[in-house]
Amino acid sequence: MRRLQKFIASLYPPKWRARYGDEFNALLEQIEPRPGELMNLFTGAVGMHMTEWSYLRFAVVFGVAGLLGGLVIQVAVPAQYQSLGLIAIPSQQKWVVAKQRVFSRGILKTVIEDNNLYGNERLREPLEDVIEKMRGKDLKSKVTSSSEVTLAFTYPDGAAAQKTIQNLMSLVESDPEFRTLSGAGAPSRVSPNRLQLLSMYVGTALLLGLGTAGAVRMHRNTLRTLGRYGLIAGVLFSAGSLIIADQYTSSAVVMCADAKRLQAYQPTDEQIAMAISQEKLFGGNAGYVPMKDLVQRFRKQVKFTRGANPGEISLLYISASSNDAHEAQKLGQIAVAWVTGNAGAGSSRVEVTENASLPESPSSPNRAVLVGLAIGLGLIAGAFRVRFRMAHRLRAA
Amino acid sequence: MSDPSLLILLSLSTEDKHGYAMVEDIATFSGLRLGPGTLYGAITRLEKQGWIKPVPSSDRRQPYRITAAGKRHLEAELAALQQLLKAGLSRLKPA
Repeated sequence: MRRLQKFIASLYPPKWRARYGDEFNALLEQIEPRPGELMNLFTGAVGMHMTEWSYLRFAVVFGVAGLLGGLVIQVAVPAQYQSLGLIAIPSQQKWVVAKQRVFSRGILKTVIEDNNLYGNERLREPLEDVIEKMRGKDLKSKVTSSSEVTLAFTYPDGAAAQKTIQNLMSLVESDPEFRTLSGAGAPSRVSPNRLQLLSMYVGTALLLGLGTAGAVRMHRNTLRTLGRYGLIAGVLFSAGSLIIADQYTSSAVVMCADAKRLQAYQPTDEQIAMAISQEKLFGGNAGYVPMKDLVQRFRKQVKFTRGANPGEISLLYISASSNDAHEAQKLGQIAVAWVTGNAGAGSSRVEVTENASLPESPSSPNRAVLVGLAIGLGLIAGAFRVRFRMAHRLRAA
Repeated sequence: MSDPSLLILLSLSTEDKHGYAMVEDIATFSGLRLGPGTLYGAITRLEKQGWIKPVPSSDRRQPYRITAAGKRHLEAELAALQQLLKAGLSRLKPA
């Protein structure tokens, strides 16, 4: 134990040991080296190193640690494979419409299930979120020229990536206007943007290092006050955020050949009032709340957004939100039925590329962001408290 | 009151002491036993702030003395604690 005590004492910074080493050793000789004392000695050595370090040294040490950590993570992360397919398209406009259909939730749900994709993610997250991940991150389409589109899917399993592209291309080809130029290619290993990833790790580590450098220079009481205010604000906001009701959003996409008809679409107040009464929407409040207010509420909760695709074929995005997931879906379905009924009244071809589905998870509020923000505000409040206290003490002294 | 810096200043307010004497004195008046790392971490900070200074000694065990600035700081801290104590006790008194 004595030897271990001496060893730990030798870990203190040389500059510090030159000044305090002799008297410190004299003290240690008088103290029984128990495990608690040894731990205190060790944390003291680490703390002393940190207080001796300059901001630059903190930045360098944490930056190098971030670089090494990033390299380890990159090695540990499984490889990704990408399969590509090339499609001849009649026009970019028609591709936008075809893409809406092929990338729709219904189609992607079938593709995911048939190819057994995202097994682990599906265990942890709702399928809706997994589809969004596939659509937003792994499945890409790129218009390479006015008559060609590349379809790419990136996935850890190369064979599954190739099979997925095959499935999607056969769906695109079901429309005779589209033709395969090059089928789902053999999957190739894709390397992530290592430089970008490493920069992210190093940047985060640098910020962490500078934060630590600032923290070790703070007085213990200051740190304690900041921590206390941050914690209290975080806990209060976490509890407070439970009061905010979850908001569910059900979205749908409708495509129509008669763009003008579709784009000018807005339901009338009478239509909305009738739907509210017939479908007993908003918890059957029609008898107690003025209908005018319920119509307003409907308009607030159901939004129609025109797709940025002016031309002979157009898209309309419908988004319906509510505190109740089933009500959100119901509102979305009613809106889709109106749009298809109205736009399809003539000879125009109307297609629901994505119907209003039952949202599995709330779209808002983002509680993690709220709590993070609260902790930040708590830290700022703590800093003000410390400043006020110091000013008060100086006056008192 | 568990701030080691304050405990050391309080210990040195009566007489000059070396590290081990401070540990023993603090344990007697507060019941807290400072570890060697905590003690010397606080001594280093206090000396840097000019609130204590080493006293010449032939012994390996270096005694320290509280400075005038250290005394002023200690008085301000104790005044704040006294104010807190007074407020706390008055609130606990039955109405």
